[in-house]
Amino acid sequence: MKNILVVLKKEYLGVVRTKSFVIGTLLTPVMGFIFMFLPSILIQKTKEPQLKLVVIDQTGWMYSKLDSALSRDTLPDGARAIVLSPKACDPSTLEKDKDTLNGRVLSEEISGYLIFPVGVDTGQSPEYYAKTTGNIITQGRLERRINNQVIAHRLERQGFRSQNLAEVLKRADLKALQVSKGGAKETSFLSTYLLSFFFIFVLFQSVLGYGQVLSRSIVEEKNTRIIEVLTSSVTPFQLLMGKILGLGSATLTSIFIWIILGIAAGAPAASTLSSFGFDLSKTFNPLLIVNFFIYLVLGYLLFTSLFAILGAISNSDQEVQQFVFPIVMTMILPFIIGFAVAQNPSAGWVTVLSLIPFFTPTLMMMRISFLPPPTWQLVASYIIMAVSVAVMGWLAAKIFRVGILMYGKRPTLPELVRWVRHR
Amino acid sequence: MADVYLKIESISKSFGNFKAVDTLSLEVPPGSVYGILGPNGAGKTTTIRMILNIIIPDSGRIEVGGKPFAEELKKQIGYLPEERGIFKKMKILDLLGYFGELKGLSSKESKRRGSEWAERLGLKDWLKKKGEELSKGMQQKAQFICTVLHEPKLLILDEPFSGLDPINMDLLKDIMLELKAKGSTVLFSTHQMDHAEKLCEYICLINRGHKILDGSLKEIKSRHGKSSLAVSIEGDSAYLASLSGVARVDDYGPYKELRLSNGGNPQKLLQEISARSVVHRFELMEPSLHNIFIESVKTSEAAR
Repeated sequence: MKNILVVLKKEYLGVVRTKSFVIGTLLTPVMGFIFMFLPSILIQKTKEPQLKLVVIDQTGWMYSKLDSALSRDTLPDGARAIVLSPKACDPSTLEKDKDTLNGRVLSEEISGYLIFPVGVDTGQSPEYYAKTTGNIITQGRLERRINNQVIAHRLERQGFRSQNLAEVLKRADLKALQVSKGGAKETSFLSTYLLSFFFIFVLFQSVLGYGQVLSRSIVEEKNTRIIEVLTSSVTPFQLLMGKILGLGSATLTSIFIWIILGIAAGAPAASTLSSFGFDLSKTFNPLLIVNFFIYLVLGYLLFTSLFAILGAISNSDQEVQQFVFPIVMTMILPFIIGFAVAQNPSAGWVTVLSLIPFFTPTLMMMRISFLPPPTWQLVASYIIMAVSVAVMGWLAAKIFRVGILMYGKRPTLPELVRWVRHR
Repeated sequence: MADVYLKIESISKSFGNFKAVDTLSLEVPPGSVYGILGPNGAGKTTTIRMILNIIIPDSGRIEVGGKPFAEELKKQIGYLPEERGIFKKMKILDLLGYFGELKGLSSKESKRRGSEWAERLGLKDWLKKKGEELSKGMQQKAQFICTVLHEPKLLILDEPFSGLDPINMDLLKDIMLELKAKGSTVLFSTHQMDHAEKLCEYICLINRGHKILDGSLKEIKSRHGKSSLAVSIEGDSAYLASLSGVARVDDYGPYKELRLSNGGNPQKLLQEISARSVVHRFELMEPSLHNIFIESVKTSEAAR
């Protein structure tokens, strides 16, 4: 036991004292924040330019109504967001008119132009011409306003008159509530998705990052033959355990630092986030936290045992690197199938996949955040994971013991089997 | 040999179809310097790894101090492997602390002892440096310290002199003899017979996993009798090998060793040689270990 502690301490300090650990620990939350929230924040914060549109109105009624509807949309400085100007419409010169308008768009004299065909209220699409058509927010607003005018026009044709059209056309947004044992709770898809994404990101980072540190340190000790001196002092098993636990403690250290940073920055961060529509309190629950740590520990042990085997059978970092890709793929799977899982978190195939040990940590975290799986499935996943960890650890210890003294050629699979059976 | 510290009883080890060590037995007296000698691939490293319990023998027993090998014994052993290296990114003082702790010292104590050794070996200014910043010779010194920091009762060195510069070679010899003087047992392997001849009290010759002979160096030499000549002459010496009564000639630079064949007569040879050349040295001596080794290997291979 004392030997394990000595190795643990060395491996732990070896990681924690490095600059890359300090930088990585501090940078990871920043990077995570950037990846998750920056795109939507940028979209919302970007200053919106005023749109100058020319309207070719073949209907005769659309222009004035749309113009007055848009007069209510203003930019932060009070100016109108979309300014319209009419253009006389003559169907015989339409193509020529479009050519001149295209020229004006290209010379940026106007932002674009709209064409309302006569049958716009009977299914013909209005057309929007512009240099860029990717401005979702402005275009969305324009589309809503046009739609409302079309609907209002249809209503009027059927004899309906209203003083307050806005009241009539008010949308009914669906509010989603997740029913669980504790009662119903309001959720939002986006924040649920992002939260599970966050946990998976942390798992990914710990397992992959420290797994590779482990392989690399084994390869270094093999190449310098330090491993022989070490195993003349401690058993290979003690060495392996010390390494895995030492690096594991380093992982936990970063996570605790993140938690402390999170609490310190909690209130302002939460309010910033909620102003952008991410309400963490609606998605956070104790089940998620507890399981996060369970799957972090089990997943870490499972994957690092695998990385220990890789280190023991490899002679260089490059050889280790070849194996990293398949491991990354098993961990990336939840991201790929994420939306399908969100659609139906209790589908049979999701259940089966989430009980396969290498997929369990990430997939289960995703399932828990969308729809907590039945308790028996959670317990089953713990048991399957724990057994897999034990088997993988046993295999790792066996292969480690022989592999660390083998130099040169990488072993073939039959050789590996022989190592495992070696007493 | 009444007193035995390390006892190996017919250990064998195979790797696949290759028999690396075959029913090897040897007995190392306490406080001795013991050499395991043999050509490359003879099974020296495998034997050493089995003594250290890094590799488990297929059969046979190993006893240290009268007890079967136990993990706890590792604390009394210092081991220097054939190929050497230290952690690139670790400071030397931390390195010494780590290896000391692995052998059961406290971190503080191992750093204190480490600093003393470093002072002695001229490594003091490097204690705060990382491994990769040291020259190869300095790295070797740091590794010697790691090996002996805990004053091991049993010091095991695998090909300790390979790759050392002359200064470090002498240094290592001094350390070995110093530990022996303090009562430690020193076991090392080598394929360079002259090192063994200068240092060892006891030797074991192995070839292809088999023991060829073992015992005290003095005893082995006297068993072979004064059956060699050390000869130094002026001018061309190529003809020496063709003289009758000379089995083989080995060149040692300043002198040549003439191995006498059965019935070779030293007096007759002296007359023949002095008739042809000016003789500077002509001395009847015990055969060199090198020759004993070569002859023993030949005999054992012929006996197969």
